[in-house]
Amino acid sequence: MSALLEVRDLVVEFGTEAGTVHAVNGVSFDVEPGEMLCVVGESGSGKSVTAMAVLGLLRRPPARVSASGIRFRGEDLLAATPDRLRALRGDDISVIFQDPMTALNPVHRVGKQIAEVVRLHRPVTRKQAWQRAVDLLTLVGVPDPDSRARQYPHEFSGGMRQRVMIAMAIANDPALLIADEPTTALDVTIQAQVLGLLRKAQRETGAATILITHDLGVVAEMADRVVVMYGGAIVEQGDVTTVFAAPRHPYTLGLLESLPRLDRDTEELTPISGSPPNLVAPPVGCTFAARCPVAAGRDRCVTERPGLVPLAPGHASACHFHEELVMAR
Amino acid sequence: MTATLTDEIVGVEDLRKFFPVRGGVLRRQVAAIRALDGVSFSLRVGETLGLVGESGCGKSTVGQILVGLTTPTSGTVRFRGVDVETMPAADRRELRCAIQIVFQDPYSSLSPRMTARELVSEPLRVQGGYRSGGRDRVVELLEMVGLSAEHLNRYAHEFSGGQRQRLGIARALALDPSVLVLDEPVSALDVSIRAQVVNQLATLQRELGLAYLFISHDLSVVRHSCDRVIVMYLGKVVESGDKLDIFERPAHPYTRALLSAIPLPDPALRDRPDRIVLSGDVPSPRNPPSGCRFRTRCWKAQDVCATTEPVLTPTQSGTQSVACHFPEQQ
Repeated sequence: MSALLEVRDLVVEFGTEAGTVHAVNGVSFDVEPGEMLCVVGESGSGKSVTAMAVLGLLRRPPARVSASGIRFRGEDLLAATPDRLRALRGDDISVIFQDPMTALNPVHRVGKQIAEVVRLHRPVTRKQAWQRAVDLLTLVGVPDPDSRARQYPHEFSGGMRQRVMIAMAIANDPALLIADEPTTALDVTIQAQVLGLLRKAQRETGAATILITHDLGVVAEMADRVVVMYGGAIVEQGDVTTVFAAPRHPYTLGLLESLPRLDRDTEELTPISGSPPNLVAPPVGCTFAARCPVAAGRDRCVTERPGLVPLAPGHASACHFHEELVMAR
Repeated sequence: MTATLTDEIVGVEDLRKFFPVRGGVLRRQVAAIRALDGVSFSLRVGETLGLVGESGCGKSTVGQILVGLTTPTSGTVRFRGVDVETMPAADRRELRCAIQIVFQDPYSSLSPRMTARELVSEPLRVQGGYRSGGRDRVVELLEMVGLSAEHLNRYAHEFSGGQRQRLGIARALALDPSVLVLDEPVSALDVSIRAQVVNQLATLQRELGLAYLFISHDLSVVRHSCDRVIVMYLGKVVESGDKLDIFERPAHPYTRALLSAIPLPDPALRDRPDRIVLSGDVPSPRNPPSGCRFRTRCWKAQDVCATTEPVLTPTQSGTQSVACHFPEQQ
């Protein structure tokens, strides 16, 4: 089995005035060709930083990145030169950011910005690249693409800008697409359009997609597999049906139980008590211990950091007492 | 809506708010953003009324008008049956205490230079109520929202997002209001924190008998928290009704589309057959479509939708009203 992307023991730290922030602490995961992997977590869980580290987009310093391997098709990205990374990004690996307004250049026409991505990586003429840009705008459902290509980003709505971002991301048929909260800034009816488009883009290009989100609804809707992050580490991963139906980490379970439901009435919500850990001084034991109902009164959770243990093929949990959760839901 | 004067605490009638668009050398008004275009509703004592819609539908403008942060272009706001416009000054001061607001973003809505004590006591000082037992009142308020006296001297940045929102709620409660406008109160919070604040708001409502105007785009939270719901689109109410009317028997195509657009946290419900994905964007409120404002995105639209604006009309159930020429059959 050869994964498209292998991440092993990724550690990212940031030197700040307040001390070292341990943003990512030993994260390992694989991305298989063509799959939709959702990384879900709250702000500060390390999900975006993990993706930026893979892309080589973290400024060093203040970031310190180390890993025993970040391999894309077997090539070590950590050891790759900046030139090599630039050649990969936008070609084999592409990214869609949360806020398309800040990701697009306000002073260049949208068509030119898409054409630039093509021209940087493909031996095509200006005219061919422009035509490709128009074709891509058609593909992502921008109406009247010929004249829209000649417009500037401010003339596009939020949803349309995100379509432009997707067009740029799939311009060179990437093998890996990383989408970092691509619909968080959008209204729900527009989010539905963009999620549908991401699925279509994945079908057309066959790209593996890492979709980073905080919205469990989006995960349930989109994912083949899901990685749940908390406090800079993976607490659970598995295929989406298993993780939602039978979560084996108290954090995953707590998240699912705290959600109000659109399709039925709930009497009272069951919140997770407390707040996320301070990553300047992360706890020695399990990062979730202070908020965990399972950990209450147990020394092991406070003194020993649980590793990710496989439970079934493809399903793993980082909890000392995961077997107690089998019947919980 | 059939609220009688006895159970209505706040009512608005035909509320309009146009923001001028200026242009040309003389900065003359060349157009208007029609943020609110004829909105009426009643908020009853002790209830939670949800106001939902996408960005730009005017839901936050309603909240800002209620607390006096902006004035309507036309229309009336009633408080306990009295028109706010013609109210004596003394009553109006009382009104400003009685309706308070909690803002969406607990990071930008609290001054970084003030301690928790200063933040929470500020409304009391402004209204001259701090003199006797002020500190005790502040501690009492902090405890009401799940904080404690040990937090008195901390600054906003020393609190987490959820705690900051609790501070925002404590500030809003300082003057013993009877109505809270909650403008996206949990949208900026992390998922694991949201439920804490939602529960806290429910507890406070029970204990203090508050009426909430709950402005939100998150329909799951609205279903959990609200008794009645108003759905807005481009400055107009398209549908209103009891919670179950809206969530189980939506009559307006927009309400249906909005509900079906929300991804449910259950992989088994993926690709629901009744899924409606709207095409296109929300039109500009500067130049809204003629007739029904939703017609440009509506799959049921006919000629009449472009020529005649549908009026909000009660359906057979009696609790629900809908502004559509072709509402869903119940």
